[in-house]
Amino acid sequence: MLAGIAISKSIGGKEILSKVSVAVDRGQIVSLIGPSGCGKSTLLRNLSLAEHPTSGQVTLDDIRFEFPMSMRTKSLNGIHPGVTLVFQQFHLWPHLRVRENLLMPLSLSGSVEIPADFDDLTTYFEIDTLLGRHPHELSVGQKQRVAFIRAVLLRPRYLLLDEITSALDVQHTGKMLAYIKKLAVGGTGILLATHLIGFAASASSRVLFMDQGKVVEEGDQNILKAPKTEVLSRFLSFMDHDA
Amino acid sequence: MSVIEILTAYRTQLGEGLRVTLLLCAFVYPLGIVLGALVGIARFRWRRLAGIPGLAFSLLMSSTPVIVLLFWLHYPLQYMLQIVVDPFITSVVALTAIMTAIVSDQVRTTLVDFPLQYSVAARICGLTPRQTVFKIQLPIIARQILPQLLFAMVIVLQMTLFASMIGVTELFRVAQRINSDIYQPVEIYSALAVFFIGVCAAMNIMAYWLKSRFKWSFSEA
Repeated sequence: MLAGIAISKSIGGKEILSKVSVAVDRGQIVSLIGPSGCGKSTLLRNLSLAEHPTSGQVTLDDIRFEFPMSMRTKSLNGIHPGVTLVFQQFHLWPHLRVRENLLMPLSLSGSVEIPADFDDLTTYFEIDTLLGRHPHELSVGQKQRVAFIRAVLLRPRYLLLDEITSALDVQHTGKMLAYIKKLAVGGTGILLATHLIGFAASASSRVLFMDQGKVVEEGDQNILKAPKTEVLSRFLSFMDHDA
Repeated sequence: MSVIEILTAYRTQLGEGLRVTLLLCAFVYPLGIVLGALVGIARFRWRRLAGIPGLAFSLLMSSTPVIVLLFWLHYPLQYMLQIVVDPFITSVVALTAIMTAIVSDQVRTTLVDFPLQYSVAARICGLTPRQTVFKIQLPIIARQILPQLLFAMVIVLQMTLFASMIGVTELFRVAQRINSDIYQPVEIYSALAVFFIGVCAAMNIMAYWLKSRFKWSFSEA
């Protein structure tokens, strides 16, 4: 299980996250919803340990990290890519071609062979003809798909996705969501920040609604049909119930 | 005499001048780049300890005219220290100091501006700190800094002309000597200008090409 317990994050004296707790198990899809700026991305970065929480605890299976970290326990070696994150801004390496962006992390980890599903993945996400290009030669949607494939190829046990469909058209959004479900069926724990309420309602085993750095309401999909708090109710009234 | 006749008649002297000019560059370029990189990294890494002295050094070098620096190192300093140093070595020291200051500024700025998200992405993808340095950080930094280094090399190549003022027999001093023999300044200095324009323009074009080649969009979304 990947879990964050009482995660708080302050930047420049301003509290972005306030004692947020969240957990995702292998094979589970957990959705984070909430208005822009509520702390979803910050939570994902802190839970993936791309950033360190100001305080709280992150547990990855049997490894536990307490924050603030003491110097003695500062090493995070071996955590990644067991848990990995697809950033909202993708962060593809600009000096490497798409193929290298996808395969370099694998080859550096000692994998000598191209993964068997490499061709299938790149074809499914329509990246197969773009492998020789640099990231700046791709559209935003193509970059987003490359970033997703890069993470998937690393075979993470827990995959954190930050607005993974934000730059995709309807067709690619459908394909992406179908693939995310397939990953979960295969045993990957998925935690995604999304505005797609329809997807959260249909695929998530758990939904967390955040507002102003706090989890305001959480539960199974039913909280999206019958919210208990006024703030979630108001939020849902603004959202399109898209698939 | 025509330009061709001058170049032919004085080819030995001109060749020797060119050799000294290139030799100056051969010493100054690697020394300036290595020292500049080290100073730049130190200024970035230890801001309190090396930041202010590095900035002061850089300001001093950029504010002192080359010829003043060369003369000061060649006459007053050697007089004060009661030593005599070969003008070639003095020129190497002066030009290396200038290039070190230029390169250290470039390295520091590049490091300060380095987009950290690429290192974070590397960590998230399981790269070790060493792999992140060698596969992500250094290649990006090298591509960003290479065009600037070429511009710095052009500047330093042009500065080698001042070494003639303290007695280094480089290309400009040879040209002056030939002119004092045959007094044909238009042909002699035009030929010299064509040589420098040719070399410097080629390096500048290369720098602009590299700059456009490596100009990536860092704003990804």
